[in-house]
Amino acid sequence: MLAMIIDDSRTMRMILSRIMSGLGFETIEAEHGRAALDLLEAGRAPALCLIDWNMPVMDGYTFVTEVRGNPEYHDITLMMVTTENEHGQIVKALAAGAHEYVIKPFTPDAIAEKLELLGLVRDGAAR
Amino acid sequence: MVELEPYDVLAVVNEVWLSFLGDSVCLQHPSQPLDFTVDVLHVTVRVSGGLDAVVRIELPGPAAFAVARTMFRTEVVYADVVDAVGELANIIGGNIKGLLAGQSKLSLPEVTHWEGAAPPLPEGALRADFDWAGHPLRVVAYVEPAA
Repeated sequence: MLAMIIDDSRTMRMILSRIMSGLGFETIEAEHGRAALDLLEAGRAPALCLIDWNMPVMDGYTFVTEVRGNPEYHDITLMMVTTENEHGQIVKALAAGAHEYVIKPFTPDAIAEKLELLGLVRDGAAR
Repeated sequence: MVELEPYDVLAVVNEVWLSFLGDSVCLQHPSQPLDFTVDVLHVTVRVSGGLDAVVRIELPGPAAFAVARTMFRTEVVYADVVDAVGELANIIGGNIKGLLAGQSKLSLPEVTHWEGAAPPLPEGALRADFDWAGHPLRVVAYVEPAA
């Protein structure tokens, strides 16, 4: 299963890639929302996108609205992974079509638990 | 603005350090000042909206390299260091923003290299010094004076 990690920090992409690989995912990376859309338009088809909110060029919220506005991408699961922790922002992202929301800092288990809830990893992957 | 206390900042920094570096930090007593005058990285994020505030972390070069090596689990170059400490400042700033009143936005991190005495802080600024694995770390937070 393929996961796309969208974050302007190379450090965070590496940390998330390490976690996702440990959960059995293959990963591809994009440094902002526009680069992620380019990958989708080029035919990459992730089952899941992990999306930062604050990024240059195109932020994560805009990416979510763009993806949800395109029926071709209907099957992609979207999970925000961000420092944005205001209730209003969380509601806004979920209303725009994000399926889950993880606030940084997180642990590998927190990511695994969310993926269990989404049915993307087997129960018990989080230990 | 909610009055920030050093222990509020300690809780945030500890959670970030435990999550991404696998280790906690120790709050240093103000009577044990750490040296932040030589080869220091200042990583600043700005809060704007409900209020205008600054959150800055300060790390001497060797501490910043140690942070990046721990996060990347390999040797690193300066660009990796800037990225790693920038992301930590972003997360610390975002969580401190959550302790402040009002809806607000967080800027992208800005990294500068600093030599010499630290710039003077506005009245009411919070400054908290920490030790991580023998490395000093400082977090500064303040509301920006009105223009």
